Amino acid sequence: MSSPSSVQVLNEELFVQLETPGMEKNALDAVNEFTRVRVREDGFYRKIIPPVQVSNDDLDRQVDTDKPVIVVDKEPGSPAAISIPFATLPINVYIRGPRYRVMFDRIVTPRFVKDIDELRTWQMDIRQVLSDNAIKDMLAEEDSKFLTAVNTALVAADTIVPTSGVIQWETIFGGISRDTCQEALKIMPKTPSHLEVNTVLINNVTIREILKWGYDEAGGGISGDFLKSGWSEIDLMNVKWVITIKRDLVADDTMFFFGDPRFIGKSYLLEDTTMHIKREAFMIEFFAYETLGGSIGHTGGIARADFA
Amino acid sequence: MPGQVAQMFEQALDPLKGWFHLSALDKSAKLSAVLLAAATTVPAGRVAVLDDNGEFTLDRTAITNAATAMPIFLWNGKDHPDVYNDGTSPTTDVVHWYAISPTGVMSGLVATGGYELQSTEYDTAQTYTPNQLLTADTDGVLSNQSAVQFTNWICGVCSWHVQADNQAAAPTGPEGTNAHGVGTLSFWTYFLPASP
Repeated sequence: MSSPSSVQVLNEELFVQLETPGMEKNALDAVNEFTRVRVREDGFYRKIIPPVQVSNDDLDRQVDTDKPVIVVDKEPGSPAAISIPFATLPINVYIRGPRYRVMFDRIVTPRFVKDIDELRTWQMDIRQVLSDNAIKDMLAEEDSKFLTAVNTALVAADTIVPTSGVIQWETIFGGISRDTCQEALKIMPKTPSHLEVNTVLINNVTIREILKWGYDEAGGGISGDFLKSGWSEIDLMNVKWVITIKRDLVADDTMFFFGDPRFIGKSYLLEDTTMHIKREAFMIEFFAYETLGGSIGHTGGIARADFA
Repeated sequence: MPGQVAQMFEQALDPLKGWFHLSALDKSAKLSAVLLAAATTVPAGRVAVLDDNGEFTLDRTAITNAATAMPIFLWNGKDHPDVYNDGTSPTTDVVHWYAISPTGVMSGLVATGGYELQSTEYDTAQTYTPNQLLTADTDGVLSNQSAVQFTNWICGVCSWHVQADNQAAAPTGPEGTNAHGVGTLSFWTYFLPASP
């Protein structure tokens, strides 16, 4: 936490940079450094499919648009091998394969505007608080879009997913126990892709159902740690657990399962979170923006369980 | 799609005056789910309104306050890569991918914003004259038909063609061919609700 004196120094430094011709970039960089760290720490989307920073060279040019697009190759299906007698030749397969597109859009915060003389009276770093909140809103938008796509791909509870031919969003009865968790972890390996779960996404309320596990379910060491320290960043059941406070996106008693990111799709970052900051006379304005694109290219890498 | 390439300027909106600046009166909203899922095209340059769910639609007659619906001139088309990334095969209906982004959010310029615009989306069968009122049909296509002051829903006033190729003949009205060789209609945005 910043002390009042350091906050004042920060604000004064910002004013100095903004008041010096040609120094707007430095002020912008100072804020950028902070915001990027917050993005990496807070968004679960980026923890599940870490975005790859791309540059202009990575973009695929299109005839009908000048907007950025990246075309991704996808592993083709292959016909099964067969047994044949001697002196028989194999059948021919002409090589074709699927591709998918990743397109980009921009996430932007509101443009915050303030008279600098009113800004001087704040003893807290209002600029930092506002930019923190703005970044959290951007992360929520990323996460919301990601889970909307996941839910769309999984169709509905207890419904066959057309692309895999099996149910990947199951209702599991019996509450959240060691047994039912193992049942939930079976959903993904049961798809034709046979993937194992790499990451579980769960909310901060539901995780407490696991913290309730006693000696008979978790063993003495873990159940003791749960009781003493609560949840900590550990791999449980050989999967990584990502806990979110966004209960509007991840409902109570729900777990989302994700395979290795390479088996899910692509997430590309064309422009990481950037803070635009500008002073004109006595008015200061700032907003953050980023350009991000992502697609789920393979539904076998996602699953969901609703515990009842 | 190979063999069916449309260029980026063939269906477009060009802001001649009044844009861009950070305070420009634009509006972003998701395209109505009905239009997003259907094969219907929603090109840039059409006139949209907000429907009862706060989403863009072209058919204002289907919404509650049709007579007073604010015209919004679409800057994006549904097929723009920053609007919608549809992974569904038009041939087999198989979904080959699911887009995390974009999600169908479009942007448009609001008619009361004080703009002079040029759109490719107008009824080319009509003859237009300067200062003539414009309305739009249920597909969002601009027209001077049934554009009667204080009676019909008015979304613009014809101006005068600009942006012609320098070897083209002098413009003779609001309609003309721009430097890309595409027919356009130039107009000022203006909003006059229809009579109740």
